[in-house]
Amino acid sequence: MRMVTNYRGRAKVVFARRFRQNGCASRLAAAAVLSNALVLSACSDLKPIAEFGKNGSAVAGYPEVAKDYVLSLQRQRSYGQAGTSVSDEKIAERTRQAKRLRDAQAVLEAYAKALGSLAADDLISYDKEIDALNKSLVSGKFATSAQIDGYAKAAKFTLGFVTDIYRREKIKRIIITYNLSVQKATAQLVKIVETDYLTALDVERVMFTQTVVDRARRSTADLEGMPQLVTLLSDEHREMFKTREANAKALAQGMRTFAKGHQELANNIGKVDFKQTIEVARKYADQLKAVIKSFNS
Amino acid sequence: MPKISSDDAIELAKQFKESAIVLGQFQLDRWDNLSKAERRNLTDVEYTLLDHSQNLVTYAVGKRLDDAEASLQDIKNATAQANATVKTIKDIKKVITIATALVTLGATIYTANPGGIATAVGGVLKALKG
Repeated sequence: MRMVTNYRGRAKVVFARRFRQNGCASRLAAAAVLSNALVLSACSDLKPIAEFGKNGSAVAGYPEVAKDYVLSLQRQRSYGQAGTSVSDEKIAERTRQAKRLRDAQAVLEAYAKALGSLAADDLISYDKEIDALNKSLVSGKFATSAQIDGYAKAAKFTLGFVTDIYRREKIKRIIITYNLSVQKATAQLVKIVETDYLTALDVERVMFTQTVVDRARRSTADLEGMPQLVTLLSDEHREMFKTREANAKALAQGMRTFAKGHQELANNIGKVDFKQTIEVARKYADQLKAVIKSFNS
Repeated sequence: MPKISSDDAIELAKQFKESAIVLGQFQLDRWDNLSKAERRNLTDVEYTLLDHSQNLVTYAVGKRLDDAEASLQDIKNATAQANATVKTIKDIKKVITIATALVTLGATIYTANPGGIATAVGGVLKALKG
């Protein structure tokens, strides 16, 4: 960073000196030196936005909650539950809800990845990621095909070359363009995870403990080896519940953090000094990193 | 007529889960004194209450309540009273009566009209007094 600053400082001096002393050709050459210096310093500036996108996509891509959402009902059947909450209709309904969860995750993952690629100057992946994002927005019913055309125009590059200033402008455009979709997808994800999945997991835990473990313990208390076996199975299952609950909470917390950070970026970008915007991205990138660490394997 | 919100539904689901828990505890505490049929009966009611707990989260949201007949608070109070009572009584028949009234109330909240809810709340209160 100091090297870049020194380079920029020297470039300014060279530019000023040449502008005063020489003709037009020299001015252009000096302007090019200054422009390069600014690009170099700005590239490193965008790293927090790249991290924000990378960490956001890592959290959004967590697949286990959507998978387990249906499995939870199937496990309840194996515990002996035969009520309407585990009926075939209910399993079909939950399968549809799990798809809605995966749709929301797909949107958030694709968007965060595209934002990260743009900020990291990985422009080869970027256009493909925007296509994937727009496709997931339509299939998840977060946007219509007509809206997507406008989104693509705002997001994709139209120039054959990319300056850093242009890239910053694109970052601003995609953050503002996609903010509503990010907020919608996050609300859908958080609702399914926190209200539906965690409630289901909690009920399943009670059901397993009461109707399976406690009864098995009472019925087999006099049988040699059985109490130990029941305790062993119960402990394993309890760990499973703890891990799933912690991961579901991490997913919801992570995406809420991403959406909050994104909203703050959308509110600030272009209105305040770019350094302030970068600081917002850095703060939320760090928070997301902590969330990633909180996932249990 | 007010509607049941998502938070209300979660709160009701918790109460019905709590009902299943106290019933399960009642059964375990008296395991050796209960007949096989009584154990089976209690287990079935527990499953049904847990069933309602999950269904309430999904289906109760948006259901209308008639405050003049039975408000959300009336439902919560009746359920809380039932849970507290099961913790203190020893009579299996009375426990089954209360639990059955709770089962009716749970189902009525997410399937029936506001009038049905009022009747079901009355049923729980009657079981508590009886």
